[in-house]
Amino acid sequence: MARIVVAEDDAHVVRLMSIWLTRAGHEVQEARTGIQAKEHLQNGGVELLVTDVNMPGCDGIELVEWLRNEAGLDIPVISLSARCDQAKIGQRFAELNVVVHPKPFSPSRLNEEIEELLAAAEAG
Amino acid sequence: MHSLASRLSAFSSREEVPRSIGLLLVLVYVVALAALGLVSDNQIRAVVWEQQVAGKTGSIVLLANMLDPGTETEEPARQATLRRYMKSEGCAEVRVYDRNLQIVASPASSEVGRKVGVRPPGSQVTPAEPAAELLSNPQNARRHLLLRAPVPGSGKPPNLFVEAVFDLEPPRTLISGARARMLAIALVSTGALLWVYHMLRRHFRSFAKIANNLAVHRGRVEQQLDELRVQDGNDALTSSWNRLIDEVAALEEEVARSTAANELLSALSKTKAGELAEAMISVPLGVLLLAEDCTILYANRVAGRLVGCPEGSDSGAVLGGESATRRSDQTVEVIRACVLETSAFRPFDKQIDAGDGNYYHARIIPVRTQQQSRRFVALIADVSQQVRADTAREEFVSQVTHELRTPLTNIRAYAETLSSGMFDDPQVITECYNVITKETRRLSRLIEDILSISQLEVGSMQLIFDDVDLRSLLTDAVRDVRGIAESKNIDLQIVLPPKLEPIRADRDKLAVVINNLLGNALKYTHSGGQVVLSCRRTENNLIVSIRDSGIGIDPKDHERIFEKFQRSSDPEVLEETGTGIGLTTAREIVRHHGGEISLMSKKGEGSTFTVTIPVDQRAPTPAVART
Repeated sequence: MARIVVAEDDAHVVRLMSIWLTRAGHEVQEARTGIQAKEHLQNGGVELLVTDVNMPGCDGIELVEWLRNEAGLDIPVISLSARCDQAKIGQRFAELNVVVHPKPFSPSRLNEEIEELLAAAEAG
Repeated sequence: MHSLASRLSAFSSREEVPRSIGLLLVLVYVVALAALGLVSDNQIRAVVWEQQVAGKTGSIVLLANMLDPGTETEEPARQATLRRYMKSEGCAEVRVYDRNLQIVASPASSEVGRKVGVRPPGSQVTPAEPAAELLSNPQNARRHLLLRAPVPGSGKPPNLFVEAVFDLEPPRTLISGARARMLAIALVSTGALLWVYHMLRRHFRSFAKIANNLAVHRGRVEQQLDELRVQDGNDALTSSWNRLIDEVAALEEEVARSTAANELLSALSKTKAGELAEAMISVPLGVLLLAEDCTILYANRVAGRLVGCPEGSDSGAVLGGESATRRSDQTVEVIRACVLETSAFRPFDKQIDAGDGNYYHARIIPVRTQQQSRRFVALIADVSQQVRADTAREEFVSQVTHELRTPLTNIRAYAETLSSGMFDDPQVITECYNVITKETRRLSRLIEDILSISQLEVGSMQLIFDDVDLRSLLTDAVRDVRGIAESKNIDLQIVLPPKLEPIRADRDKLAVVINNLLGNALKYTHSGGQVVLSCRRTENNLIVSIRDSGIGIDPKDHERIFEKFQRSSDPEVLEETGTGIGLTTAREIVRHHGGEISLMSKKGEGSTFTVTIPVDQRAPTPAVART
């Protein structure tokens, strides 16, 4: 069981991730903005972050940059993006060690990825 | 035939003149040589004859002296002398006669005492002096030389004379040696003359061609300089002539350029105060004429405002100099750098981001003046609107892609959740179905908007008029967005009159209008706010209002937000996702119904969009009916 933050402004996506991850035995902390996500992360104990790119206030890239550079957290991060400039985003996220899942995504595949990342983080 | 004609043509052309003159000279020379030869032949023959006659005459005088009666009186002696004479001189006959023409002595003694011999009629019987005569022999048509000489000492007048006949006549032809020499001289001299003629002709051939070209193009050489060029010669004269032609052509070109430039300058100077200058001043394109050091030689009104210099010419201002009124420092710097740094003579283009939201396109054209110095013409166009439209279009495509992916993401994810069989909670299953349904409708509306804007782009939007139950239409619209209102804790109200008669309209298109306006109201209203949809009908119009207590719209953006792909510049608006086509689509649909959308709003005080549509749609204007 792991504590996972899901940062996404679309309520349906947050709800869906919550259903899947809860069933897998994880604790989900929902955030509708980047600011809310930062608050959850600052509280500590978070083992993985799933974040959208386009969010009001603080977008996904800014959030991960804050996470890596300011918060100093090296937890696994998965990004969900519906933007058309995937290549540009992918390059930046690669530098930040972020796994990118373009929208529309498969929730089962996303869950498998989450489990693999958590296992790798625990192992190493 | 053609060959003959061309030969005649060539013969008649000036190019053949030297050849004909040369041939004529040779002919004259040959004739003169022949005449000279003929005259010389006669003279030589005469001299030869005279010498022969003189020689024979001398010999017969000598013979006469030998027959002097004082010295030779004996017959046998005379006979012997005559015989020796015949033998030595080769004469045919020789005799001595007395005054009675009786033979006194003869090589043949039998003839002595007889009267025989040749006598020309009327000839002197006893010549006092030696004489020579030519006698013709009628028997053989030959002529003979007859010589007589008096015998000295035979009395006065002489009683005796010697007569000799020589088978000799004047030479009719020259001797072969002289003829051969003359022929050789003639041949050598003719050959020499021909050689000289050939050399001269070769030397003067280029002159002939030049003269011919000049004659052919007489009076229009200025227009046909190339035609004067000699094509098939490689001698020094031809090369010099062709170089001369080239130089003349270059000079003419230079003169033409100079003349054209002067005419242009003259025309420009004349029109400076005229219509052209006025037009140039007023054109909406910036026009600058710059010297190499960026001195502004001319600026029209637009350029003057843009770079901060007085309009007109010869202001003395320098591009980039002190100015408090210029609109774009960046434009000035870019053009200045181009002028100062370029060495090329080809035009070039620069896209300039002025940094204040405006964009300019500058085309800079180097030109050379008569004094070989450079000038630069800069044409500056304000392309801000075009750049903004391009940017907006790109953003629209990006935004539409994002907007399409969002409902698709939910539809796919929730459908997979249902089909996975992993979730048997009825509440979760119901939730999945609801989300799929809702997102499908959202996707449908989005596609409808995109289609509408596409139809608006090409002018092919068609309205399908029908009786529309407004109560049903408005209630459905509110129901569709109630979930959003509840999620944002917004008080969503609908206020309808008790009685609302149907109107003629395109129901689906009208639903798009209401949905877009309601969606915007909810999107830009904070949690705890209020959105009210109301409807009333006047005698002629249906009026639908959507009022919200949201962030409001700055009046400067009231028109802009109805333009395609444009959104308010308010940062609060930009935080929300949007395509910038919802209001454009809504207004166009309403206009196609003959109505209008109005907006009342202030920043921070909410907004009210009011849709006014004529009730009577039975006779809509053609422009807004089925287009």
